[in-house]
Amino acid sequence: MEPILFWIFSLGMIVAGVSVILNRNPVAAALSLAVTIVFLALMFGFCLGAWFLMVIQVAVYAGAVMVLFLFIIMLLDVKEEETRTRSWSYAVMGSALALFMMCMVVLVLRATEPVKAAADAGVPVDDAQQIGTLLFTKYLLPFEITSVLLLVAAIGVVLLSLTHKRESSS
Amino acid sequence: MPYLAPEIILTALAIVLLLLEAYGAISARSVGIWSLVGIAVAIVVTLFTEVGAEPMYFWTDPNAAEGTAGKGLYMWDATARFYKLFFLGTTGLVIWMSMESAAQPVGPKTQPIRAEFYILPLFVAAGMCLLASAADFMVLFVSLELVTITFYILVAYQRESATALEAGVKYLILGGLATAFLVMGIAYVAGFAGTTSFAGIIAKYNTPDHLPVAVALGLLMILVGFGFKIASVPFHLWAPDVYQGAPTPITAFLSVGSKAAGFIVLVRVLNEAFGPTAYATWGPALTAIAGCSLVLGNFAAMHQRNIKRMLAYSGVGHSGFILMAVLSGGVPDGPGIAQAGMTAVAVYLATYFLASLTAFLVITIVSPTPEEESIRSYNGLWQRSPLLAAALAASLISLAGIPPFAGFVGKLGAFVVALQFHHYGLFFIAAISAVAGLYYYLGVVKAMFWSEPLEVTPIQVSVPTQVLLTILIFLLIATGLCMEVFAWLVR
Amino acid sequence: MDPTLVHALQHTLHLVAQTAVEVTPAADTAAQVPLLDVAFYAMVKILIGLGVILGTVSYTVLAERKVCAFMQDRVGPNRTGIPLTNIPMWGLGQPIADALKGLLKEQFTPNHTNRFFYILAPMLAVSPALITVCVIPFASLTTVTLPFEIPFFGNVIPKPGVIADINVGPVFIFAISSLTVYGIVLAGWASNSKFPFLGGIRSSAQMISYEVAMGLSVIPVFMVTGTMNLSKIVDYQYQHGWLALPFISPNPLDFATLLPALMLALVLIPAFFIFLVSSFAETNRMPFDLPESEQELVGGYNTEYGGMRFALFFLGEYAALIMSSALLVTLFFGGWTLPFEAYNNLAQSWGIFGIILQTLVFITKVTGFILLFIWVRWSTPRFRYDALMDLGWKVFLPTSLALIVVCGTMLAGIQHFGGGLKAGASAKEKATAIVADVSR
Repeated sequence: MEPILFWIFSLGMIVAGVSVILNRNPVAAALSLAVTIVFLALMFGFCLGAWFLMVIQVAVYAGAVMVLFLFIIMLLDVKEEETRTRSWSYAVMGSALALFMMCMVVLVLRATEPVKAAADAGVPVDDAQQIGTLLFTKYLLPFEITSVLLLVAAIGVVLLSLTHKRESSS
Repeated sequence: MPYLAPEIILTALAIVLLLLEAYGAISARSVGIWSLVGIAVAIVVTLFTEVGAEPMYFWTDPNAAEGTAGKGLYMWDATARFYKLFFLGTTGLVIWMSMESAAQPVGPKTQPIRAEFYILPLFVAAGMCLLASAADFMVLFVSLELVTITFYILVAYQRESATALEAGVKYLILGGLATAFLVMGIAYVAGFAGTTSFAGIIAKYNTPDHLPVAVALGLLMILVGFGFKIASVPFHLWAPDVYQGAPTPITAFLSVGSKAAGFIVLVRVLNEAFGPTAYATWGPALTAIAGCSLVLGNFAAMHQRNIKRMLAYSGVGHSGFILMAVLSGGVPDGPGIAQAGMTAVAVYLATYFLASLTAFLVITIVSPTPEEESIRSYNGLWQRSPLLAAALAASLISLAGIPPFAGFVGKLGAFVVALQFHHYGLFFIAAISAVAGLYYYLGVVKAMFWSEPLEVTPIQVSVPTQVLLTILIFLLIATGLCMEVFAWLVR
Repeated sequence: MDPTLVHALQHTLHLVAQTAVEVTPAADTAAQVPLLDVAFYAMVKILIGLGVILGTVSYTVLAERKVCAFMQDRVGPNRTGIPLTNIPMWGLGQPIADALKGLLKEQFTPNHTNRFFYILAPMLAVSPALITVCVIPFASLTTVTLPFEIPFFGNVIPKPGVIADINVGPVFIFAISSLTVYGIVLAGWASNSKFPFLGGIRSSAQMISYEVAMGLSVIPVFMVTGTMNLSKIVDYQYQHGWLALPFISPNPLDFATLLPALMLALVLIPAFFIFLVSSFAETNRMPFDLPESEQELVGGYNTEYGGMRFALFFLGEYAALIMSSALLVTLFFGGWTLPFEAYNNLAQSWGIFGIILQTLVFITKVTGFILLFIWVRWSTPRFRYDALMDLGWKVFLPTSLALIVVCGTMLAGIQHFGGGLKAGASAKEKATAIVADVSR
């Protein structure tokens, strides 16, 4: 079952990913990206047994980040992409680069034995509990740094988007 | 003093100042002063904290006996302490420069300096201090992102001017690309090693065999990410435009703080996470990068008319010199990077810190607006303000590496390491580049002393800044004459 | 039947079954039931679940009209009765007439629209609410045996009370329902017309804002119950009293358990309130119906739609309302349980009939919340847009964060002073084991 699902999901991801690149309509491209994310999430859940990760992936990336992308594309009414003619040189260069990266990854994966996922090892996974425990014990420090990072990002957004009046020289 | 104290002090102070400022209890200028006080406290705390060797978690592991001991996230060794002091000093001087530029008259399109402009560097300093202590890719990555994201904000601060906007967008997009490379590289390494801790990775891969292909690829991708931070060729494309468009204090911060942050994580990863066998992977790559940076940085700097662009290209060249010192690995059964190399990197960065920050402090005062950043504005600076001219001359001569000044010691160290580790080709390129460097540094010095000024109005410098400039000039000469200082610093 | 067809069917079911088992990792009782049976009953439950939801939706619409009429001192729909006769039946035939109307209307597509997305949007709007049904527990999970045989597939139903017993139930619901916004935003954009566009933009901003507060407000529930599995949350409430009404427990006079429960209710009741109000916003209902405010936007994101496509938006909205009510009942009001031991063990004593009775109790509780939603809709004025955003970001978000902190402090205190509410030591051991396991 797992291999079948894996192929279904990866096929979905590849088709959606290619459609992100080939779509001239930015809204369609953004939606394709959301579909790619959903398939990736399904792969986490059904092939690795990481249900929590699957659900968070959908909620954060498909449910929030991509919606904001879509929101901005619609607000700015991005249409330039549709009228622009395709540049063959870019297409050729891009494909060559993609091919190169793919060969690299294939070579790497053939040469090395990767670490087994917990689900393969036959360990029952409650990944929400595992992730939570690790975040609050072993990886407490990076977790807290992340909170500072988010604070800074929020301040930055306010600072850069605020239209403040010029203060009289005080 | 407890470990992690400087980072906690800086973050807590930043949050308190943000709240105070938000509710109008405190003016922007006093926020700047309090930030300086906080930096000073953090420096004192860092100086009085004993060096401990073991990496640590901030959580007591009940299974410590079962093998998780020694694979902590955060280490406080001599290197960490030196770089923490370095970053704190940089941040302090940058905040000083910001206060100096706040005192300058604002142009029609310049944003006034707000309190956040003093507070955000505190977050950067906290992130950089964490980077100096990172012993795990998790901490390394989130701290590096803390630094980078804060810089995105600071670079785009003057968002109403087109050059600042260009700088912000360029830094954001290329920074995002570099982060993507870094995180994918970390994913490769961690995925195959099964751990993110440096100790765990080196335990797995410090064997006489070559690195597995995947790990080698991961390491190269990580180097791309770091190459962006240290602005080395071919990852330097952002540097000239961003240095030019960012507010001058932030340019100084990027050119000293961000570059040093890139180098500390670079040497950390190469030294702690990978052993001498990895040299076969990164050695040739870094040699090529160093050579290109030396040539391109120094020769492109010759043709610049804008002093910030010139310093950007010269910064690319300096990355090349420092990389020459990094290239001291590959000794069988030795450390990832030889002690001599580590010391040379630290000394070079310390001299670069003094010289570069002095130069940018003068630029902040002399060039408050983008129009005054051309090198022609420095014609006859000696007649307008002898102190500023002397300081800039001292720092530029030091950057060029002429003997009585500090920069000479740094360059000497890098050249010695190159000879010691038989990088003769690189040594030759570096020698030519150093001579090319003389040309454009001394060009500015000549303009300051022997050209007619465009305008003759003298430049006023506040008393505290006069004192600071005098101290900096003294340090530039004193450390050049007495190299023992560096031995003490790096101890 | 043709044997190859049977074989193919069995094969398909087998595949679904394996997935179903993977979805339920802690399947101790299900392990003995053949996979094929699990799949068969999963499919039956899915069909019944969909049927019940769609049926409830149509009657919720009728209830909305009737309640509204009652509140405005009108009669409401009272003519439509049994089809093809003249028996009025208090208007109970109205939903059938509405559905037929929707299905029989012409599927008109305006020329100025982006056709593909115009047709896709209603489908995207309706599916998330229907998908989330699968994790809501509506009855006991005790395995029951049917009193009669079903050919091919044994008569043992594992976990009859839920379609998929996953460990991340509420988060799954949030994740899937956060996809609803795609349907609405796309409808607004594909209509290529200004009022729907404004509606779509408003809606996406509103739904994203309130998702944050909603997600944070249930964290105290997870902290108190110690699980993210909805069935286990319901079990906890049966043993310790409903989270929002701690008096309703099997032994309400036992102060050793009541006292901590009352303390925690100080946190859980505000959390419930935030969750409830956020649900109003998430379902675009009054007082937060800015995306479809008739007075300003003609009809909102669905202005350019007609016929069944319009009905699908309607359907999705009401299905989301029902799912919100079901989630509220499950998280805060004891789910399908009542504080009587005999009732909760009905699955053992009465078998499938006990399950049906428990389901009916659950539906009754949900109906109560649906009526609350309708009542609020017809008695409150609409928020102003900035007030809406202020409430979400400046009131609910900080409050729910504060609730998490307070809840953690209380739990630590209760554990320390031995309220017997949680098995603290075992949790600590478990955490240690996990860290040791992962850092192997």
